Amino acid sequence: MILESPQHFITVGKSNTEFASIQNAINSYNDQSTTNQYVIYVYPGTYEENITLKSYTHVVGVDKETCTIKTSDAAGMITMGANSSIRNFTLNKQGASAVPCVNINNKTEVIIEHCDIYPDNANAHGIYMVGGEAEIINCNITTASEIAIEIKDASGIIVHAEIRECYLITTAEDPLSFDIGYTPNNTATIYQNTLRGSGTNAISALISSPGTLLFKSAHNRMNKAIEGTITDLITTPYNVINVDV
Amino acid sequence: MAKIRLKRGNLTTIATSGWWGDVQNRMTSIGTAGWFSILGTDAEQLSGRFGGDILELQHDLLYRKSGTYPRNPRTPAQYETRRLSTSINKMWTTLTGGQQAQWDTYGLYPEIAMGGFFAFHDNNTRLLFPEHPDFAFIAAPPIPPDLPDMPTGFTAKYLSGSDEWEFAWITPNSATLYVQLWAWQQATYRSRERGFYTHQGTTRSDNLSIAIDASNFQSGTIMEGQIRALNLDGERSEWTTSKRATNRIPTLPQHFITVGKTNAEFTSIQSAIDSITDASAVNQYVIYVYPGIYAENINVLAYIHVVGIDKRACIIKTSDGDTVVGLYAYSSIRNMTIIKEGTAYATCVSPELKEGAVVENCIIYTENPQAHCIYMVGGDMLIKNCDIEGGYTAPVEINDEQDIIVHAKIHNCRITGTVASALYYEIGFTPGNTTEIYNCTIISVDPNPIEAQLNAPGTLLFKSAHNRLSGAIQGNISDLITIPYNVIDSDV
Repeated sequence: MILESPQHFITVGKSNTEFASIQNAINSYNDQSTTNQYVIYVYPGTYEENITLKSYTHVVGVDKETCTIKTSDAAGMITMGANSSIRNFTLNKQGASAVPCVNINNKTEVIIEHCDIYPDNANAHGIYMVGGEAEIINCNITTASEIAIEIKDASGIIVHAEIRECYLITTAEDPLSFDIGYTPNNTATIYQNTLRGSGTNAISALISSPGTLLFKSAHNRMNKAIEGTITDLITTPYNVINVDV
Repeated sequence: MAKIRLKRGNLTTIATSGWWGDVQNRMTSIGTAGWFSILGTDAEQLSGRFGGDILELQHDLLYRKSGTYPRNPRTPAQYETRRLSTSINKMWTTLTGGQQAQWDTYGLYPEIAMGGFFAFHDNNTRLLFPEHPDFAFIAAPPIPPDLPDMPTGFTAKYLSGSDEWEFAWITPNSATLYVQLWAWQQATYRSRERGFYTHQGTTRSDNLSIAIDASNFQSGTIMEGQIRALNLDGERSEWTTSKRATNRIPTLPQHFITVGKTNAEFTSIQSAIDSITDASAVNQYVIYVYPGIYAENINVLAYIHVVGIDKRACIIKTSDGDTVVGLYAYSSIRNMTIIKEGTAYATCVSPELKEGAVVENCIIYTENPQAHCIYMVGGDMLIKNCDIEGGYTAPVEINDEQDIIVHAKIHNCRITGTVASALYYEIGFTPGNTTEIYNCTIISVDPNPIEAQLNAPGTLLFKSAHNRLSGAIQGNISDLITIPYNVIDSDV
């Protein structure tokens, strides 16, 4: 994803910026397109707002450690749009609501990169994806009784997920799970991740016809096995599976 | 030059003699089961023949097995040394006459000359000195029964302003010690350089110094000072302790220049580079590039770093026949998208013959399928965390030339060849070229994502591990890593 001309840059921060709220910055335009992309640079601070990204919108923190989005109400916190990205953030869904930190709802060309993602509620997902096409890169995702990343297809809706260089930590569940049952040829590429969970598997999948999942994994470190029903397209994936991972 | 100076401490008793003080005369009394060390200029004079385990002094003043010398053989002679030193697991004196002759033959290669500081343990060592034609080791010295107290209170301090370090320590009165001060500095992607000071004797003067050439090091370099003591209880000598202090060089003068479409000091990256006249190892410049499309070819001069604030939105793009980004020694480009658009046969990034260039966290592609993304002829470069895509011509090509050696490190990259191989080596002029490819995904339409043309006298020391490759590596490459855990699968 390269954001070519013409570009629009909007700054968000606590002072000396165009907006103080990320959503207000997103709401300030409506002419986004593939040749008219918007990049919203967010200066350090804690932003207590739910954010719905428009298409062709990219929300980029200047520093993952100091740019934080957190909310505690029952709505989803980050809702991705098509061709959107969120990068360099700490994303913390607070409070008792069991809603995911990030929701990818059948949106294509989504990137979530270099984020720390953790919900406070034990029953909340880190990332929840029903259909669409997403790259999840270099993220640390920690959950408790719910799956860190759950990926599903739906009727007429295919899902493509690429997850690499992430830490997925779950204290009472499987860190990564697929629930596929509607469309054939869903794909998953899982490279160079560390997955540590307390469920049955490190990666689990519920695959029922006519759904199929083309699964590729290599060079992951997992404390438990990949569920047996997944057929790995790569013959020698060199995944390390060891309880001490 | 950074200098090390010794502060006057209360080190009062330092031995005046010891077996290392006269290495040559002591050679015949050094043993097989213990170990033996050679210090200072004696080692520089040394050439010899050896095998078995070789210990090397590490920066923390501990000995570690350094593998079988030479660890990275470059010449046929060194390969032979390596082969023999692993295959003959006996003392030279216990070899058959034929084996001794074989040993002596390979031992005469000049490449086996050693310098610096080594120790040999339980070895198959037969050393030759210019003045001493031939001998072998015999009996081991026993470990001394009573070790002296060791120095305490070792401190290291960087004297900002004087560019010097000051070391001090307290030595117990009863100790008979050999004191060595050793400072070194190491930058992230560079080799280590160190100054070395040893002192033995009952008296010493103030402000003894060793000099370290700091010109090759960047801000953030770690300097260390170390001290260690040896027990000099007659012949029964043993290393007994080491002390270490680590300081980080204080922040060097920093220069930041901004480039952007608005509200920045420059609107062109090259104009910003051209404004710099005094860049050096200790006076480096960082050019921060705000988002935008920069239609310019740039030459990043030495010790200048071009850093985009967002790799997906900071774009350098040109369509003419010139290289988009030329990298000079110790320069870097980071967080940028680099595009050669149009039909021009030109390269996105070229660090020809430049040492220490870094390309990190960039997206690089060329629209002309016959143009390179990265074309490297000689030099020393790190390519890290990059997405690279090209066509007929391998997106990354690495060559040596007459008397020009090439060292390429490629870490954590995704390289895609949409037509031909993704990574191509053409090595034919110099021995000792090196490359390491770790944690990369390398995919090509061509059956071989990595391809190498190797012709004598050129050699390529090839190390690969933990890569995902769409097909086999082609060419007569011998991977130095025996279990590289590369995934080779067309579905990658």
